[in-house]
Amino acid sequence: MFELIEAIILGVIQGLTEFLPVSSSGHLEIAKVLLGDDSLNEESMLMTVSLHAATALSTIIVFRHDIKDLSKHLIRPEGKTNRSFWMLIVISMIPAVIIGLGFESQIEQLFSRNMLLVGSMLLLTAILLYFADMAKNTVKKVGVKEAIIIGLAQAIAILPGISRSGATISSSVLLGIDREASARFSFLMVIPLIFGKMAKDLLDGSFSNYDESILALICGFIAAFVTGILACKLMIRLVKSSQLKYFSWYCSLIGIIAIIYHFAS
Amino acid sequence: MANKKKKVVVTASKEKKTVKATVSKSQRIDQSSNQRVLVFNKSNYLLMLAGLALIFLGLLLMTGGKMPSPDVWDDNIIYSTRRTLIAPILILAGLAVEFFAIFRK
Repeated sequence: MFELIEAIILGVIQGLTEFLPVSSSGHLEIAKVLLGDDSLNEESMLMTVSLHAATALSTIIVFRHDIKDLSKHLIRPEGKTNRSFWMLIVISMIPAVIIGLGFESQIEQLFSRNMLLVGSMLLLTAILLYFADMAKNTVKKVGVKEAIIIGLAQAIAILPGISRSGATISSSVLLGIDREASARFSFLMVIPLIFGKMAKDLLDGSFSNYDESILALICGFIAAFVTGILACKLMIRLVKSSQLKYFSWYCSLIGIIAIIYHFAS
Repeated sequence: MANKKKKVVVTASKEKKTVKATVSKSQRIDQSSNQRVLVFNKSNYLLMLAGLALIFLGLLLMTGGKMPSPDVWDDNIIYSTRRTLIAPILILAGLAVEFFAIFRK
């Protein structure tokens, strides 16, 4: 029973943090410091794959009409706009792929319970969200230059404390791109990365023994899927109505607490 | 003639009121909830369930791999074809079915 509740909690956390700009990795690092590494059971690869598949599918459900429209006439001359959109998605993925594959060991070293780094990065997320809320004249469309910058923001978001959705949506809005288009681009650009990472994890044979119960995996999947749909829709609404400042305040508070803890301990 | 006209107008307005009240309170709610619920049709849902079944079957096949004792190390247990080939293919196939189910008209 406890295993099922744990799986549901993990699913809800994954569903919320995939879309809301609060940095799951930053919170995990803080939790490790406060609770100690031993008290946190690292979720198995199977559970990780299951939860990521759930949130990726929830993104596809929410944006299914956009994906369908954007996939029309791809090989015909009238599909030029759609082809450009997918090209921009591919361009935006390049920085994260280079950093994720080329600097894997260096990235792992950053996850060493460094509260100063986490706190500073949470403050950076807060500043980005605050200024994104203040931004005006958000009418532009995503171009090559913008796709590269948003892609760089996504790559930087590998750092613990920087929210991926927060960094990409904020940088996009600050570049003058329409708010709804920013949210859509941010969530669509990560789908190929999630599935690519999942396929790599599944096929590269890095297995150990897993005694995860199938019922726990199902519960985690459903919890992440349902929470993911709700959080994704909520996030789009918050971005459109310029209400990211609440997350900015929250990230500021947690960031300041993390920095104070670093200097006090 | 004038009396007849008046009667007709009064009756019509009463009927309109009752019809309006019925539509707005019950049918509108039904219509909106139906529109919300029926995002996909039956075949989409069936395909989604089939995809999920494939994913969970793959996850089920991937479980295990534990050695019978701490002194034993057997590559065939941990890196068996079931866990390294069949299970991942089933999971990825399940995801492909989910894609198809979501976008199928």
